[in-house]
Amino acid sequence: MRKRLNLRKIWVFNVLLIGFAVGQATLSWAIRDVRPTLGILPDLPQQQAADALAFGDQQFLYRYLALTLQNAGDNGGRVTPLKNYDYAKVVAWLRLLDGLDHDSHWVIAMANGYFGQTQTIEDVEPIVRFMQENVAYRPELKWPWLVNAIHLSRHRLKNDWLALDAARQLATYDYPEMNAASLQMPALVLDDLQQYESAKQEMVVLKQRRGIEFSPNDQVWVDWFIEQMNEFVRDTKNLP
Amino acid sequence: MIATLRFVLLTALRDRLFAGLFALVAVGFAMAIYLGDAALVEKGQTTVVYAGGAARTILILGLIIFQAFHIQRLYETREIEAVLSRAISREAFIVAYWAGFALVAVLLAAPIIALVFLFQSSLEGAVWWALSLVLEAFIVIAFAMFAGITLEKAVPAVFATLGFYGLSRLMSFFMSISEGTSLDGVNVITVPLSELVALLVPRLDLFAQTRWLVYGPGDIDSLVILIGQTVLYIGLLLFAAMFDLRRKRF
Repeated sequence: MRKRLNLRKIWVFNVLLIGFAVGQATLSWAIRDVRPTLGILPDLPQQQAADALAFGDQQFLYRYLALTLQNAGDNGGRVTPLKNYDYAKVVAWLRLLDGLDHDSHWVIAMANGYFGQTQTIEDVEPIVRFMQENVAYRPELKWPWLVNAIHLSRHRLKNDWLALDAARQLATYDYPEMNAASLQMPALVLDDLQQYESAKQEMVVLKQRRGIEFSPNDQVWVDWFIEQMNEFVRDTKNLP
Repeated sequence: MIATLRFVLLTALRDRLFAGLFALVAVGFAMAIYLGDAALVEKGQTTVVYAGGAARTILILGLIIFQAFHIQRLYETREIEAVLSRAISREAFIVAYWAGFALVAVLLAAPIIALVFLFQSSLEGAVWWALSLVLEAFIVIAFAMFAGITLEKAVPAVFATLGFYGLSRLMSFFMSISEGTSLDGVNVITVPLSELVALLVPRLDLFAQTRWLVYGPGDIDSLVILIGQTVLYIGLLLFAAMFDLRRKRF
């Protein structure tokens, strides 16, 4: 046995050992830039892939993916600020989830209460647009979320024109449970935009259409608002 | 018939199927409550969907594995020969065994369904879900019995049944893909092939939809389709198993 292990064979053995070690180190050096993508949000599955992943139970997949999106960015005690999120990807995720279940409030609640609170104010706009889209699928269930969309537009984004768009969308719906305030939104936003004549017209049309259903207090308030707009219009005309 | 039912039931008890499966379902429900509570909104709905989906998967997998090993043991210990040597026809043997497995499935499903009812958001939807879960289990055990009788070994029978189950749950997905595919290249073969397979595979994706637990059931026609599908497919599989058993020599 000892005779077979002559010096030459040990030398070959050592060279091979060192050769493999050097080879391994070289390979590791060559692929040192190949790293896992540590993104905040996981890559978005395509619609067909999502259908396959659902395994015949879309509702289960919807709930699973919604929780994944909700918890994305929180890993082992590290919390990622919303300003670091890629909002194009966030909206794509929200749309994918919306496609799996139009009736659920979870996605729009996340859009409004979580993603809509980003520190990067300009990222709020795609969120508001998504909320408008989401409500449009099932307005009878989700119209109240447009009030939140208007709030985000006016008070976070400071974009009254976008708020007006959402307010006008809200005013197109006609459900018995809609209160006076939600129907008056376009007029209120137009007032903010100093479009007094249009604000007055909106309120006059609303009064003709639904005024009879308003409470006495609302009716008094609507009349006061119309009068107030008339005054503003007159004041504006009298400006030098 | 009663003796066969009793035998299958005793085997399930001996294999600790009930204890093992209920323990797993308990863990599944605990996870569902935990994860459902982590949702920002719709915590109850999320919990019931997780619980329903997990319970269905555990029940079906448990039944497939139990059946495959039970039938393998029938062959290995030659119990099947002992049973068939009595005054029971091979056809009656198949029906009695399916009924025995169906009884086990119902006994396993009953407490799971009761638990899901505790979390449901729509009572009517939960009734539909429960009924269709049992029907789905009936179809799967019919296939598992056919695979077990034909293949005689547990591992290929489990694989065959899992393959069948996966295919049945994904068939609508395959059909939607083939509908949107142009008929050129390899698709000239695969598209008609997938359409042919679709004719032979039940649409299990229509069964036990967790959506019903949240939003209520669909239209009554779909329930009629589920019942019709169950009757037809169980008939097909039982006759296939009878056909195979009649050709076997012991």
